[in-house]
Amino acid sequence: MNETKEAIVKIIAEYLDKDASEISTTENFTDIGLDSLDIMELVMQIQDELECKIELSQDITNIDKLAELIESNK
Amino acid sequence: MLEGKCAVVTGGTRGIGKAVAKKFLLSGAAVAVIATKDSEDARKALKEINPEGTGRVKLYACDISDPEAVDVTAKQITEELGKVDILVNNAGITRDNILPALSKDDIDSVIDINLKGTMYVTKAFIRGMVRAKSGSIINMSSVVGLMGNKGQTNYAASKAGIIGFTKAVAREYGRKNIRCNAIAPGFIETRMTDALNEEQKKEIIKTLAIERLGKPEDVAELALFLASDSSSYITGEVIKVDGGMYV
Repeated sequence: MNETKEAIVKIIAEYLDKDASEISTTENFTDIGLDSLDIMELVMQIQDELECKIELSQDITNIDKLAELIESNK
Repeated sequence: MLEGKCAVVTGGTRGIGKAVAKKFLLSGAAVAVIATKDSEDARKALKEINPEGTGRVKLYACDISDPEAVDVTAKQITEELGKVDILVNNAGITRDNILPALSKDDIDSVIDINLKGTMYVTKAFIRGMVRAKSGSIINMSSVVGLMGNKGQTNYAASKAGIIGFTKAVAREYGRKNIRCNAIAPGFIETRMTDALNEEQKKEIIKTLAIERLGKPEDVAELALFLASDSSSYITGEVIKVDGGMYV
């Protein structure tokens, strides 16, 4: 797992009060327990912590895709 | 009741805000008092809030109608006092006049400080509360926001706006264990009501079920309840402290 993905998993795990090992990077956000408001909040948090700009689209449905998006904008 | 908690009170150097800050401090909270200016009066108020000098209270100067200044102040408060558990949006102004005589500035300044200021300050602290998965936000509305009042169209609109904002925040963040309630004071003895003459005060008192003006402490008692875990199942509520002015 690359650094970006690891950081996202850590933030989401903390947010959901779960262990990082319980967070799937391939399952949809909704399936891991995040609704649209959670995602907006988390995107703001991830932007702050990873110092990046994220423009979410409908295609970004899981952690893998979010990490790819952040990496491609680096 | 608030041991180990950190509270922010805007407009905390006068009237209701000062009484709330004092009550919170006595209940064990660390308190950040936000005032427009770090003036002699503000420092004097801080001494009145904390006469023994034993409580943890600090003054922050900030124009809450400036969102950037609010963000800077919020960051400073969090760094210096820790995670904020309780926010009391109390700062407010009046610019009373009949509607045709209200200038653009009379309208803008009241909305900017009372309504937008409440939104900016809440916005600045909400993410910290989301991360902590707890928080209590108390917005100072007014009975005027519920019943209207002649000569106060701008103020009534701002205070009614606060009620809508309160309910929306309650719905948006309830699942994060963040509660948001509004207090609607009636006529409370503060600088705002000092502007009334004795005759006007007598006329107002005649309209109240409890025949006296309220005291800032009457409002502070409710603020303490709403800030504490005693009210953990209350959110999105507007509670009047008005002596039965509007029943």
